[in-house]
Amino acid sequence: MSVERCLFLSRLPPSESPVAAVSPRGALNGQARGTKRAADGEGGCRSEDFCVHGMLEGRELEVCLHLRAADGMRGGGVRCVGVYGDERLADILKDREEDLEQRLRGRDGLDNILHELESTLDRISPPNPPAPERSPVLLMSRILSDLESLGQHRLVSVTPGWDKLQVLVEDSSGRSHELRVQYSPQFIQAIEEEQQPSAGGVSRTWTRAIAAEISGDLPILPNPITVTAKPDVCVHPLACVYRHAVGFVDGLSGWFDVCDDIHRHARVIEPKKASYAPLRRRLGLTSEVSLMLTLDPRNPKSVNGQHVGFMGSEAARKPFERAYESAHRDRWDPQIGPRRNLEAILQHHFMPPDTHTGEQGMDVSDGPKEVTCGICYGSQLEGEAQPSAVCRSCGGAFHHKCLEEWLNSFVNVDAIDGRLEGPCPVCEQPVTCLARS
Amino acid sequence: MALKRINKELQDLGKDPPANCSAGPIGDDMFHWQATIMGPSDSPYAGGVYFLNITFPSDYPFKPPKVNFTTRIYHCNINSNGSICLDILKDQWSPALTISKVLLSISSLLTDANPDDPLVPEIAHLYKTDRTRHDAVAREWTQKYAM
Repeated sequence: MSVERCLFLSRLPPSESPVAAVSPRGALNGQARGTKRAADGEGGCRSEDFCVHGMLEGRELEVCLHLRAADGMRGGGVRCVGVYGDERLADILKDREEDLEQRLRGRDGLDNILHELESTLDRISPPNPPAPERSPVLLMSRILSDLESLGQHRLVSVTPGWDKLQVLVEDSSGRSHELRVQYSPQFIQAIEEEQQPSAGGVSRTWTRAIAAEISGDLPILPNPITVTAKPDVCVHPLACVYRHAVGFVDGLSGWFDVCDDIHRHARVIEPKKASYAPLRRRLGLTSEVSLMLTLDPRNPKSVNGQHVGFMGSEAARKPFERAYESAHRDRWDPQIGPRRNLEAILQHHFMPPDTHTGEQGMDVSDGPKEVTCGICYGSQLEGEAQPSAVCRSCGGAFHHKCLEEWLNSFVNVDAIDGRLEGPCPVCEQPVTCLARS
Repeated sequence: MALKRINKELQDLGKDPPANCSAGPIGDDMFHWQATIMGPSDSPYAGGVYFLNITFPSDYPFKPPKVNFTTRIYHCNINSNGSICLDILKDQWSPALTISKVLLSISSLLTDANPDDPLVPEIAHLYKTDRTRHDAVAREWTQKYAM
């Protein structure tokens, strides 16, 4: 029996709002924004509706799946679907009717489809909806006036929708940190409704908790800050967020000190880019031994907040390991930071910071550029001032002697003209040279 | 030739060490090295420190170095003797390769095993059929032998 096609699109009465935000019988997990509505008998079947909320050009719209379930809400049992909601959403979803119906008949669970609908709605709506009645001017003027209390120079950049700001936050040691603040839509709405108390009529947003996220070059990120938009609690929401950021950054000032000290006085092999974010750094002790230092950003100066490992061959590494093991517990001074502690305990200075960054690899040489042989990695070799054999495919240069020795390990010597042939060590394309020896 | 090239590599390793690896001679014998590889963070070997022995043949770099793990590791291309199944250590060797490049290749072998060319078929089988369990065992071995 074919499943009756009963997809239809109709307009949702604007006054209706979801009855309750509960998940019906396990069909939706708690995270889904699906909302159960009371069965309204539409379509004439015993049914339950699942509503998905999406944003389109700044307006929150609703689209509902109207289901006639044959055997409960397990995906496979769904027999009949209606899709209705806002006219414009209905227009967009019209083209997807067939697909949706097919998928409901197939294996796809209802919650998958609801999730997909939701992400479709999010996708078709612009990320920062520039709705005409919602110009960012209100938000902008509010943020600018908030900024006056902080100092406008703290604003580094802002997105066109004014929902993401980059601000400079200074810690107690006077270091500036560029932090990105992203407001939740509720935050923006609360600020706007505060500016226009008459809009919407009720001041229901006063008590709404609003959130902002802070990120930046930090070893750990703060939890999203929640500010209650209530005039007696927080007059300037931006200032509240800013204070929170300052407090967070201040709590990490010990970490910033330790990182600065390491970057100034030791050669950091990894990561290459100086940053406050990584917890683990590899520092050069000698050309053969490096030290892997992992620090706890909450506790970077204490002996318990650090973990040390040595890398290098056993003979080169052992003296350092012994020195560290025997002394770090007793001699660690929490006042002076891990870099100086380690230097005192190991009785050895870290290699100085690398001043020439950029070029990497085998060919980094201090003198003028020399052509090095792709086999022995030297330039001069017994009578050959520089590599004279060149691969025609990749341009790799080799000493004749080196290339000859390499090609000699292959059997296909052309006996007639005495040429050796084999794969180029660099590009593996055929390369030849005269057999001299 | 071999000694000169090995010395050159040692010098270059000091100037620009490869990520998460280090290597150097064990004693006075330049043909016998030891290397360290940190378990890559995006692998079940994360947090482990692995030691390897390296022996250079007298005709290096025309023949590949012999490299094997001395730390035990649960990996389908590395057996209990520490032998490594890696093409560049065998027929795909080229004299243009260096210890630094070999160690980086081994490090990426830890991130992406090659179960289609296994040295330990049982591990490769588990890798293919139950990756979660494979990774759990690998993590267990990391904690037991490499930390």
